[in-house]
Amino acid sequence: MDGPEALCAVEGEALRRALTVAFGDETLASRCTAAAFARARRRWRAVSSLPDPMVWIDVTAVRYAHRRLARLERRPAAERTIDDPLAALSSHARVAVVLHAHRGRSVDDIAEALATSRPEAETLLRDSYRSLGVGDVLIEEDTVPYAG
Amino acid sequence: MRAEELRDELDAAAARVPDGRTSIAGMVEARRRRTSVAMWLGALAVVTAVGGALVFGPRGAEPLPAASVPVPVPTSEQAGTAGRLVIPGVRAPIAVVGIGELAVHDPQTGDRAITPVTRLNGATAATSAVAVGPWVVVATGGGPGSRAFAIDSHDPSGPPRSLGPAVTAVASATPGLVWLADADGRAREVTLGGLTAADSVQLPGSLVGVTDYGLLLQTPAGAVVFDPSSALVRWSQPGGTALAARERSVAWCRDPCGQVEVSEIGGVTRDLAPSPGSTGSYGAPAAFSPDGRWLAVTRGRIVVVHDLTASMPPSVLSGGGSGARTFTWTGDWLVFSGGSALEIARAPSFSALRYVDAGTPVRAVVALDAGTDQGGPTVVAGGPFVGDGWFVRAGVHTIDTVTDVCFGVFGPPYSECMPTEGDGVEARLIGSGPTLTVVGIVRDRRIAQVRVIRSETTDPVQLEMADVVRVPGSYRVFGWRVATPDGVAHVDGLAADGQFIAGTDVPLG
Repeated sequence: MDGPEALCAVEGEALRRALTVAFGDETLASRCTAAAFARARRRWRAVSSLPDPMVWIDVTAVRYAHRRLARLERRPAAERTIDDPLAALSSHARVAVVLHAHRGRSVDDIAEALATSRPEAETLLRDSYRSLGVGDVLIEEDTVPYAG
Repeated sequence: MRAEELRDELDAAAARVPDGRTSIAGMVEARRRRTSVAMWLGALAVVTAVGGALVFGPRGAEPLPAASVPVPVPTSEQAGTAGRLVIPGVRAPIAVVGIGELAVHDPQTGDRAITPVTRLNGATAATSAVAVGPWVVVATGGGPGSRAFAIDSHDPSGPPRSLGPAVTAVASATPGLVWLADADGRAREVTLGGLTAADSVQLPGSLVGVTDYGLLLQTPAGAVVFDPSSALVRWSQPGGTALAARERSVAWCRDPCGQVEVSEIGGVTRDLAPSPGSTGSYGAPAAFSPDGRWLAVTRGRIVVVHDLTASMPPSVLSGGGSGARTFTWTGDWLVFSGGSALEIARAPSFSALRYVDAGTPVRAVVALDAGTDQGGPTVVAGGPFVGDGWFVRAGVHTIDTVTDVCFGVFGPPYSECMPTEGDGVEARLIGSGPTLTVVGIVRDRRIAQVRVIRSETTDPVQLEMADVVRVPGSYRVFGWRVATPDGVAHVDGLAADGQFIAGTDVPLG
């Protein structure tokens, strides 16, 4: 990858769509995706040295989203559509499943994104998949550290 | 479902997301420009401030502008209900106690009725409200002068029933009764008529909630469960802050209340998962959901909802508005307030918030018991009298004629019905245990009062005229709570001069 601009052009829209599925708020997803890429751009020397910079950007974007929600500046704006595949899950569970099943992030990354421990994140994922009736998912042992 | 199928569904869901109005790359570039400008402006401001301070000396700072006020989010309902409280599948009306008025929302239609209630003029931020059937019991929480009263949500313009001094009202574990605590710390369990169900008791702390073992109190030493009948402490947590109670469970936290714990009285205590992204102390109000699965707790202006059946992180509901939070559960829906708005979120995701106009600045919000059935009889009156806590409805089988009157102990179901044609007085035993009640209908218009005499006592239990409830069709109904299920109750209908007109016997055993 040549630089943050090229990475954003390739991956930005996919992350925005994933965050929209996770949080149900397009505006929040767009802003947090942009904020994460902007932060990556400012710290590109460190971020680009990671095995996969997009992992860092994913985690940062989710953290931005939680921080923004917590600051009361935004709230999910509209009800989700009826065919939402994650309708049965809590808000944190939705984020965990989207990061894991859709974005392919590790349990450690999810724990970092949700500001929780690895066992908690793992339990969250197992409970979420159980709630969804998914029985054959592997929650892998992945210990690539978060470099935020 | 297989994992691969879930991935496919998530991919499809992401693909359905509409294209953004601005590309992410464009937004990143815009942020970069804003950051650059802000840095220059910041540097310029520092230089200006230093220079200005040197020239003009110290000055009082202008207050920061107020935070922006959220604008109601348009809802997806049909035209005419936008901005109104519509909750799919919920029939129980939502009552909003405001300052000087009561708003009652019908969650099925979105209709709302706002009625001025003079007694609510003194409603403070500490106002508490409890639903007992279609009645709203309110304590305005204003210190020593605060009183409690009951408002009939079917006719809020009617005079509220005074329940005496109280700063706090909490639903009793016994249906139909309410615990009231006054500013001096005395508590009493009362009916809607203000009649005490037991002797009042001096509490060693402030009333927070009710468990199966006693009252949850906040004392200077910590959280305790206090048995009002024996004055014994059944559970305590030194240094703890009491948050909420339900059946055998107590939610509490330890200073500085950064994490909530739930204890089973006589059982285990467990820490609930921390709430990522939210800071500050947990505090009141807090409430368990009706099924006990969820616990909603406020944390500043945030409402945190914990799933008590799993260890996953809680849902964090930020909501809008600047007012103190107050909330109520109705089924698996959480209705919470902020300022003059109501927001709703549904278990288990709690992710779909809707923001509607509450109709009045919210002091308390409470879900009423569903008192009306579509196509069924309508509640036309409720106690209270000696046996109050139950509610009466008239069954209207045609448009104009009341053909029978139905009774239910402490509200629905109204399973016992008596025809409007028959003897002057008819009575029947309904309920069981603490709800065992003699109810009846007065058909003879000459009857001015109803008297109940137990066969094993010489002291008559007399129901005064004021305690007999009028229902449509010039009929009247009455009720009498049976303390001990022995003997026979002689129910007499008396004329205004005390002459016996009609009567009936009801075996109590």
